Amino acid sequence: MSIAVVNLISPARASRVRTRMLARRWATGLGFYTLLLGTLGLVLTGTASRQQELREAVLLFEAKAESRKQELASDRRRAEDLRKALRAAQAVGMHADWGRMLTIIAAEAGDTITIDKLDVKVEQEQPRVVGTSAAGSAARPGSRERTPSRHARVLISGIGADLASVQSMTVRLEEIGVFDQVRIQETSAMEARGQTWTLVKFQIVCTMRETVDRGAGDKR
Amino acid sequence: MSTLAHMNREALKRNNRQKPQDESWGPDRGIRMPTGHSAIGIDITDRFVCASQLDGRREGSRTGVASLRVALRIPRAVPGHMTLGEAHSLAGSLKRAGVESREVVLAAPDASLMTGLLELPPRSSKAPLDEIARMELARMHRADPDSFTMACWDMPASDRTKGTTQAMGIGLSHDSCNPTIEALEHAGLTVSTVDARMCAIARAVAAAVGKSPALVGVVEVGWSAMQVLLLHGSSTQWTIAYERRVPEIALSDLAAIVQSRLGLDADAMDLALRGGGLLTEVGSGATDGESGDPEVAALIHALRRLQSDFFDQLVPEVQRSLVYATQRYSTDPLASVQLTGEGAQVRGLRTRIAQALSVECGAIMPRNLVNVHPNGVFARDSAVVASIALAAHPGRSRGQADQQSRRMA
Repeated sequence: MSIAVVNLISPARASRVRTRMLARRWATGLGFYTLLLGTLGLVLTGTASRQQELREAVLLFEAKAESRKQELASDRRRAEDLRKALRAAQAVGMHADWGRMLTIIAAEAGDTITIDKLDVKVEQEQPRVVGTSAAGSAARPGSRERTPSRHARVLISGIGADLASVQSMTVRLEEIGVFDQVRIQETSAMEARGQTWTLVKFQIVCTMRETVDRGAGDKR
Repeated sequence: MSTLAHMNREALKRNNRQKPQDESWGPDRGIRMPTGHSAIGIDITDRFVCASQLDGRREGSRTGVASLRVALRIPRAVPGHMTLGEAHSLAGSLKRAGVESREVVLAAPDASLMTGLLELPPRSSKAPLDEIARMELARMHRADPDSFTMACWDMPASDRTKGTTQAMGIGLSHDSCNPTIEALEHAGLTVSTVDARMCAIARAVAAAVGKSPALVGVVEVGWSAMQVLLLHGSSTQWTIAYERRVPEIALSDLAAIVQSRLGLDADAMDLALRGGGLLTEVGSGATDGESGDPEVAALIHALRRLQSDFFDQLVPEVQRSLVYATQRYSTDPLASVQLTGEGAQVRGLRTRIAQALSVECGAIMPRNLVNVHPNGVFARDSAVVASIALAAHPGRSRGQADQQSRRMA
């Protein structure tokens, strides 16, 4: 139901009002646009800043990782050097001082024994597990595997004044504790040239084991 | 008188469309506007500054009846143009009421409005009718044709308009509203539209009555003057077919007499003339002869006599105006008379007018126009009707007012 729509405001004032309202709307629109742009800029700047921070963090992390890698390589080289040195030291340390053994054997020979020949043979044994049952079942808990061991067989050949002196020497060799096993392998009588008594020719085998405990790292 | 009464009886027999108003809105009743806040309608009388803002809403697929968002009625100390103090006070009150909009639709002061019934050549003559109407209105009011803004609309065809176009023109001097507009702009408000109060009231009545191919008389009982309008309704539109301003009949005269003879101060008189008072029809607790206090009974009796004297002046003027106006459209019935303005609810006025004109007489209240709480302060306050109709000025949404104003200017 329409009644005549009337606006009696003067044209000049209406124009001013229109201009003012238009300016206000533009200002409001521009304000919103500026606010929007500002917000967007802040968001983008924040995102870029965050990305920059992440990039820097990644670079720092990579630098640290590289540094660690280099340190690790250096440590590996050093460990290798140390391992080599250890092996050398082990090689040097494991070398038997046979001279000392000969000195001991000579000291135990006394006046009635003459040693003609002393043969040392070192043999490698297969590894074995200490503590296995006789039936070969699985090792008990706590059993330790031992590294492949070596044993040295010292074959002593010589001439004794009599059999008793040979046996006495055998006993003395066992008592000194150096050898694991000492046994007379062979004895035979032998006439002394131009004499009336007989001598005893003998061969004594002394076994000396060397084992390295892998678990404990000890060496016997 | 007898002619009018007979004509109305016949017309009402043919067209008994004026139904009692209920709370539910009809399909064509109530002020409807798109969703959102309206402009602030400001109606400045010599007594009050009334301001209103509406909220539009939708009802399904169509626009619904608007709601009254804010209504203010601020008493004035000095009549005339709005002062800076009043403008700032109004702007502060609006701000406190939560009104953020600054756009104002202002009612032009009735005293400054130039109106006239114009005889123009027929539209088929291709004559520049707007220019002729401007010149004619300027001649009638002895004004410079370039010194005012004008609007006009064609009158409904009648028996007397053969071979001519009759139009009603209204004009407002460019300077007449400047003090008020500048005061409002100083207070931060922007006046985008200056409407004529008669157009706003006609809009309100049309919204309250709905579609009615009949004549509706409108009587605005204002503080400074009475205004009589005749609205011609067709199936598509309403037209203001007659307008007369009667400054001799004013509510302020009744108030002055009541104050001088009965000694009622301004507040008591205002209470008596408005809601809940002795003189009003709405919420009156005392009627003739019911008061047990002889002093109160004497006061009521004196008031009745004074208001009866007031009616004796008012009713004949209304009768004279509407008889003259309705004679132009003798084929259409005068369906009703609607009262509005500050004195619309003075006790007994509706009955006197209905008896004098033999038509139904009602009062236009905000609850007839917009959704408002039925017990709200302004639900029955006819003084804010014009401001509500100003807030619903359709030119704001359609831009027609500016176009028409430019065309007329």
